[in-house]
Amino acid sequence: MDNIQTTIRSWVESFTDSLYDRALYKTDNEEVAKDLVQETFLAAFESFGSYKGNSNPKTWLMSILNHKIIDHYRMQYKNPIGKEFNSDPHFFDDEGMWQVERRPSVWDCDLSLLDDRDFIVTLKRCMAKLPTKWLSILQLKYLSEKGGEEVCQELNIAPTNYWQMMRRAKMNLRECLEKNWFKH
Amino acid sequence: MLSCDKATILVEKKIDTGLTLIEKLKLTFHTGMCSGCSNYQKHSVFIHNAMSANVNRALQTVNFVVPQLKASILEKLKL
Repeated sequence: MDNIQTTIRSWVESFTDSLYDRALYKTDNEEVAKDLVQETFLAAFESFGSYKGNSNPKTWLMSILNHKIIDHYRMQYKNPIGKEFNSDPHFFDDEGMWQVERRPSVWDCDLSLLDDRDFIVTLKRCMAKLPTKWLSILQLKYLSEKGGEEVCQELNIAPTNYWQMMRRAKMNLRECLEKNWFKH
Repeated sequence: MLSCDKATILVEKKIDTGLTLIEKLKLTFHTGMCSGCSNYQKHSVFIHNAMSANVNRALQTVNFVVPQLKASILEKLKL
């Protein structure tokens, strides 16, 4: 139908910018981001019938994109490729207490740091260093804005396993941030 | 007393689902005596808040990529 095509064409013109921006921020990978935006418009085209017309098209497209991003990380979690740690760096000694050199120091941090472009770059770099599986679970949790319980159900893992993985992800992320930002 | 190993797991559980009363007491007691875990808790919460903020930030200029991407999409959809 001519109407749909005209509409979608105008959406591509108006919203590719924002969609790509978000996809790139969330995946940190140009090629993946492009693919996801493309898939989003394709999905919008195919399921145009379910678009009510009374909601903001950008909102609708963004929600499709979000689902695509989540699916992407779900796939990455289940089929991790690339770097994996063979063994966790030892944060704790035999008694389960912090090794002296790995003990977290005091940070001067508050959320206004999120407005600091350089900090965001550092954060993204540290995230990129994480093994795929851990980064995926971090992203899954925060992208979907779901509780950990839902993430567990989706990935079919036990809550304790989930907390352990979140801890590992955060421990490494934390240490990277400390080395590259807070103690720099 | 809790080990730091166990304490840091409790921190993650606390952020996720919250803790039982006993777990809360154990963790509070531990972080009161262990600066490493006290700091870890602050940092983990910071990271949690940072990632929850979900604010879209343009980190790179998208000027080169987007025009080409638009053309490619229109072509794929035969629009």
